Amino acid sequence: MAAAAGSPDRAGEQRVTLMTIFDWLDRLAFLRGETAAWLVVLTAVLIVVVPDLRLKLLALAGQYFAAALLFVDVLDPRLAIVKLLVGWFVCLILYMTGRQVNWDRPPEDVTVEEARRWRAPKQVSLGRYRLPVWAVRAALSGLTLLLVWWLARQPSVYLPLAAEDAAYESVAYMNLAVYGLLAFGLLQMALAARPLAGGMGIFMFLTGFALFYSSLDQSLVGLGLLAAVNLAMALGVSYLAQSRRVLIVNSQ
Amino acid sequence: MLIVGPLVGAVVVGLVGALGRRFSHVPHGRRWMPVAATVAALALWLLLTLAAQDEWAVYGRSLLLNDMGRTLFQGLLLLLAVTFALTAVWPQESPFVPLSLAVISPLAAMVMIRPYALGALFLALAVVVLVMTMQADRRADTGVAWRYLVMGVLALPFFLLAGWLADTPAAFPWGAARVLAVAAILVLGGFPFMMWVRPAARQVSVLLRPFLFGGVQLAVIAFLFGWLLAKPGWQADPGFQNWLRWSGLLTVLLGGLLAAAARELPDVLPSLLLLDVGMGLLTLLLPGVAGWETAVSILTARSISLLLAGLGWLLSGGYSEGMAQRPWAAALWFYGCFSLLGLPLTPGFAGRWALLSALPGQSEGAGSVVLIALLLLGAAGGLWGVGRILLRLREPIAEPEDFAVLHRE
Repeated sequence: MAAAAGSPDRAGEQRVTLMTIFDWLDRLAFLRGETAAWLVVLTAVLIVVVPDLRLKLLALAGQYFAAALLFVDVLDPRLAIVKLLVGWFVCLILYMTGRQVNWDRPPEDVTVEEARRWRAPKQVSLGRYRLPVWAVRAALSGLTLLLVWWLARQPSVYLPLAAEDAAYESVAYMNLAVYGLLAFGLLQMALAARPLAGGMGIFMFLTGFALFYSSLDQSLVGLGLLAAVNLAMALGVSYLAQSRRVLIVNSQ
Repeated sequence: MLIVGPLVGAVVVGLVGALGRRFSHVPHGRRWMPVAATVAALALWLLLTLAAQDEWAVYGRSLLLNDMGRTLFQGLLLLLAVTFALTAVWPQESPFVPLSLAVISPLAAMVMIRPYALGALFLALAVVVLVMTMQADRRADTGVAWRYLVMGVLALPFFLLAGWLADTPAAFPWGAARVLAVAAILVLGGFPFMMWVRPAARQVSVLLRPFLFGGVQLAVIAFLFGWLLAKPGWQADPGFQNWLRWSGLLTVLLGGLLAAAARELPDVLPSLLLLDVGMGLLTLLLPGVAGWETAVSILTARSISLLLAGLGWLLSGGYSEGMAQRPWAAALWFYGCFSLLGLPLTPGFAGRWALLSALPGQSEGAGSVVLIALLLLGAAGGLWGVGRILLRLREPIAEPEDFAVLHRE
């Protein structure tokens, strides 16, 4: 645990004081607000575009951190920390599952023909054209980013996020984060053919909605149940990832 | 009791199953788990029947078990007891047993909790357990369960938004009733979100289907009706009526069309089920208790139909040719199909008749006539598909070469 600068007590000994959540938030002030919203969107783009599951998972963990900085603006910081811990716990479950299913790579003892069943297709057919998957993902991500950026600037579709006594402009950047997480979550769910990668879309979508819903309902029961849903979804996604591997291995 | 009991029961049943696998050399070792699960389901049914208390307070929220909920879960537990007893006869179909018992817990919490919006979070938990249940025997393609999971996730925000809009109606242009309609279509598998229904009906264990498509959907409809009965104005909303009517109608038509186009025997039942899902969705249009009673009638009949069809399938040996060789198995399967279509003298008829006679009162003029005509057209498509398969079964079957060799040996 990190410690703040100590202060000498009467006996002249250095006393160590632990940093509180509020101290951490002060230190991270430069990341809060609009910067955190853009970080959330950036990590969402990475999750959709990057092909490697481990990098996706790293981006998801980073996204939970950035989202927690945004949760601080709508929730009590102690509850925002719980959101962060739940998110990282989800990442831990996905990491352990990823290790167990060898990150969706084929086993070493399969033939070239069998290995083809494990690999995601590298090209997409659009009519008579064949395009690389990464290019399609990048193009769709670019389009989604433009749409999100445009939506977040339309006052007619602003989300009701601000407290009654707060100026709306003070949390306007939340629109960007919420729309970004929802849109990229849906995109990832639609594009990913495998449970582990697609599951990251589910978690982005849920985080986006939780960011919005937390400003509407701050009851402990609601927050606790949303956390339980996140953890249960992680178990469900992991179960599907394991089942898929077992099915393919058994069919060989 | 309804929330903790099934979880404890599922753990005990799972342990008995593990013991059964450990002592698989003992006669009937594989049947221990289904028998234990049947006993657990019956014990829960008995406890529920005898339970006196019907309201509990948890963290400032109340869990209320009204007559509707009590009857619903008594029915669900009986359905599970029958299903589990059948898995004792066909133990190869039993891997889903502990998880399907566990799913009663979040479903009960979904129906009982107040305010209603929180029930959606329990529904999401139930969807996760159901996804695992669908995959328990490692036979179905994971894509099917994945689609179901995605639909459950997508429905969650709509349910929670509907709960919020119930208190702040002016905040969103759609209004709470329409948001709830979208959530209902998503989670019940109505058009255009029906992509998981047919693959699931084709791939999951035949003995799980009555619970997955009958019992669970009835619990979801009970959750929706609980909400609608508390907010009677929502059902009168034109958007709510239109969206559900169109979704239900298109689901019925699509199911009928796909059944009519089905070439193989296993393709027919999932299409008929899709048709029936559309009918189930339409019950949400009927006001108040009459709508709930019609839904109970349709979904109970669906469970019975799927159970009969599943029994026929298992008795035929689990392959299409077996139907031609065992007429009584084929008779059960076809009776289940006819019941899904709602033909007279089948369990499905009462609900279908109640729905079709009540629907004209929900729309004015020629609209209701056109609606009924299109619903009948969908059913006619289904009947055409079943009839064609029935006629094909009477044709002599070319014996597959390897099958013939096996028999000669």
